[in-house]
Amino acid sequence: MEIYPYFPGCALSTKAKALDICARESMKALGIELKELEDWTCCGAVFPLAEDEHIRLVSPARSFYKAIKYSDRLVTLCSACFNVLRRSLKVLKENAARRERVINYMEEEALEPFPEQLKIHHFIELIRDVIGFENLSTKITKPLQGLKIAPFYDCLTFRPPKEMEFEDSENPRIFSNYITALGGIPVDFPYRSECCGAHLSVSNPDVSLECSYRIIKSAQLAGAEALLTSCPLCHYNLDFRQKEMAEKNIDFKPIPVFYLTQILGIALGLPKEVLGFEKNYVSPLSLLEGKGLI
Amino acid sequence: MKKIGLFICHCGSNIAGTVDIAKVKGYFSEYDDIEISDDYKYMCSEPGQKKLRDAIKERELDGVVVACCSPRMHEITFRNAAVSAGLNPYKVEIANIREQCSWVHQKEKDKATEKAIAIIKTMIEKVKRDEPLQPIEFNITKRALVIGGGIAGITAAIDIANAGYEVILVEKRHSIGGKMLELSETFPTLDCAQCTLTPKTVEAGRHPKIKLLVYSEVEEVKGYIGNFDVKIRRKASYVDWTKCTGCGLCQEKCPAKTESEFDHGLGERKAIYTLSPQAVPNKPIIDKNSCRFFREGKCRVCEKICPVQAINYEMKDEIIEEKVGAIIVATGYDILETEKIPEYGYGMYKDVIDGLQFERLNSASGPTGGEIRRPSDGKVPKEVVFIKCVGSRDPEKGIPYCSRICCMYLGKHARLYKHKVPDGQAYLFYMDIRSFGKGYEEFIQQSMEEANLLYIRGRVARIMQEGDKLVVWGVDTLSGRKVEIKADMVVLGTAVIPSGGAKELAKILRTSTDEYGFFSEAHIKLKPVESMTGGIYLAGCAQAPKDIPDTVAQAGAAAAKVLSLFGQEKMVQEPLIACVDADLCSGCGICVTACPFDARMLDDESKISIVNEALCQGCGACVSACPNKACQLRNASPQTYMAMVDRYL
Repeated sequence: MEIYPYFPGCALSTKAKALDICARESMKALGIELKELEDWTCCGAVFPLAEDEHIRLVSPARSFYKAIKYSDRLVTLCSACFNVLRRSLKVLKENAARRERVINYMEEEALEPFPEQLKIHHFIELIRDVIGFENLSTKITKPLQGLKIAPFYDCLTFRPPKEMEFEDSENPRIFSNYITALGGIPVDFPYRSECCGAHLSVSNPDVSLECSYRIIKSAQLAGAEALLTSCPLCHYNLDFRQKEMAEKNIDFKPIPVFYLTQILGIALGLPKEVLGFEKNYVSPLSLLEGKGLI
Repeated sequence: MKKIGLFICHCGSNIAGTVDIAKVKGYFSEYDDIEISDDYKYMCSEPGQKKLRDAIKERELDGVVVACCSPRMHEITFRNAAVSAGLNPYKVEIANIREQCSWVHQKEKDKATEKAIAIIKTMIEKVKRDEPLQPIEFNITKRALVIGGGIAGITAAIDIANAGYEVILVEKRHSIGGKMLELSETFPTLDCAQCTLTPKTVEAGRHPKIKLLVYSEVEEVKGYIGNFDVKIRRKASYVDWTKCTGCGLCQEKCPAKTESEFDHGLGERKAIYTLSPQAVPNKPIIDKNSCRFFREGKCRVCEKICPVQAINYEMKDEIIEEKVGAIIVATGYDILETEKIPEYGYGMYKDVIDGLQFERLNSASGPTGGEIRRPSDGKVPKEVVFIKCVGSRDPEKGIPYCSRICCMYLGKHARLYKHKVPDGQAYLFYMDIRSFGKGYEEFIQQSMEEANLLYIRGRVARIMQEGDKLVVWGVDTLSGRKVEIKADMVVLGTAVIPSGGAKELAKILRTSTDEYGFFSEAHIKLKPVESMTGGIYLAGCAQAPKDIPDTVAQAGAAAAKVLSLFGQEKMVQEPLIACVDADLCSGCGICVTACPFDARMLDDESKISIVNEALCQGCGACVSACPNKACQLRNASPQTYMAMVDRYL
């Protein structure tokens, strides 16, 4: 079994447990062990934009030193962790002065040379590059036949494009290809990479609700039966807040929002307890039963 | 003992204000080889030149040094003056004591005077060693090649042909007229593009001095200014045009349809087709990729129907060789593929179209017969958004330049739309409006005030499809408000980019392009129609984005340059070029690869390097590359330069 170091992050240990468990169990089914970094600390939560703010890079740097003991790829899944870890690594690789300052804070944790060869891998990159989408479609046992899923592309995974160096942020395709590999029908919709409202749910919930509502309406108009996201915050805005959407709009029809890893778990035939649908506000059970998928 | 004359120019106070002229003049009055040391307030003036001429005659000078401004300014003036007094022009040298001395040392007058003396000393050493040289002469082939049959190429070809010289007009597509033939109306007069252009295409098609080579591409160019050898590939049309009468029966009966390139994907054409109803020449070609016979081996309908048996499925490409003296590059432009702007959803949304597509929608010969109907469902759009600067002026997209035509043509589009759909609403998003041409600003003012077009200063962030509407998210920066328009159709003013194949053609022509792929002019202000290579001239959008008036003006200028070349009896070239000392040359060939102008080759018999005097530009690359010091530049040998340095030290 191949082993990759894995950074779950805080959200996946609490609110977004389904995202985490499905990731580990699906990978196990595919012959890969995601080994949780021991004693991992916060990813940093927000990437520091100030050029002289070095201390915020220490926490991610600590994870880099831990990860390199296992592999040159550190896998993560939460959009925020992915964003912060990838950008922090890029800065530390390219800016020698900042790297030195950060290492000075770390003492015995950073006795070895800085792990320049390390790469931060999003879970989906691991699937694309290590397993391969074509190969994946041969390994699934329950293709998501007839399931129309609208992939939602969150901001943190793709932007800023020059630093994330991931997919074309204006015209991303990767989740569509993933859904196709799992036997489902990807539904392209205009609002697929618009803002979900993000943290405004706390400070200005009405504005944020309007953002999420537009996304859901757009996906439904395009014929989607479910949405897909990899970001815990997007999931909160798009799934849990459908409660308020229904209160405000009489004609609102709820739509399940899957985590990125949940549909992989379904296609691999993982047991219901693992799939964690009780964490979804809008339950996908009746939709999946209707399609004969559980 | 040489007899050299030294003439020191005050250049008003430009030199005399810093350099002590009397001291310099005095220093050289008793100097070896100096016959006369003189000065004058303006040497370049007629009295100044007379001083020089008189001294050459009276004192029988065999060399002259003029201490004055940069040789770029007046070297030619003094060399001509010397010729009229009977002295070989290459025995005149300039000591630059203005740009390289007085101007840069204005606060150090004593040191400047010393430096002026040092500069003059070195030039005296050079003039002592200069050989009298004769200009090199060549014959000129007085025929021109024009590449590109758009409005630029046609204009240039007709101008040259009307002066009595033969022109070969090569066009990639199978009829001439270029992009202008695709336009419906033109700004600022809103007159029909075809009506303006077709008299020109017809004239080019019939002109006895113009040889039209359509469906052809230039494959190889050898030689140099005045004497180019060109190979042109004439692509197989599968129709014998000598027999074809252009009756159009084959087009009518052909069963295979495909997307029309001329209508930019909005309409269909047959597999055997002419480009447009006004095609010149009015002869069809068979498109192999869509023809049933070529794809499936069955059909031959056109062959059966043709009354003159012009169809020939066996036809092969043909290589045509021509000799010309000058080449005009008029390869025009393309527009940025809108797939490169995913935020505007092109490729996904059918009703987001580009400017050329709108031209076809509005054209009487277009897919809708000139009615404004949107591509998705053929409905007449009631709300249309026009967006300027799509790709242009956007360093993020790699196109920082302004495309120069979009401000005007989108204004024109909106006006034409309002003519046909009076109850429709047109919105124009702009960064700022660039209406610089004659009658342009008036046109825009009229559009805003009388035609009821809604100009919004701001950018559009994103376009989304919602049902059968396109939701346009933009900003009005004047009121500082977000704008959301539910539009039926969006027209993008996408960036003008060089036409496909421009870079490859530049390689074939051995001339250069800029970072974007437009052909480089020799000087942005003073030589805007000359390319970096002698004998090759530029017209139209091949050089940079421009509108039709500017294109026609530049095409006329390029033709005039060709005519001033053809007006000469012989080509005359400066003799200050490379030469080879045959005794030292080992025939290694390093100079052949070092030469950027293809001017060097090994002689077939002697195996010794020779110089093509017409191509050599005197750059000196071979001189520094030659391991044996066999290559030298005339009047610039290492010995001369060492002597100059010795004298200075």
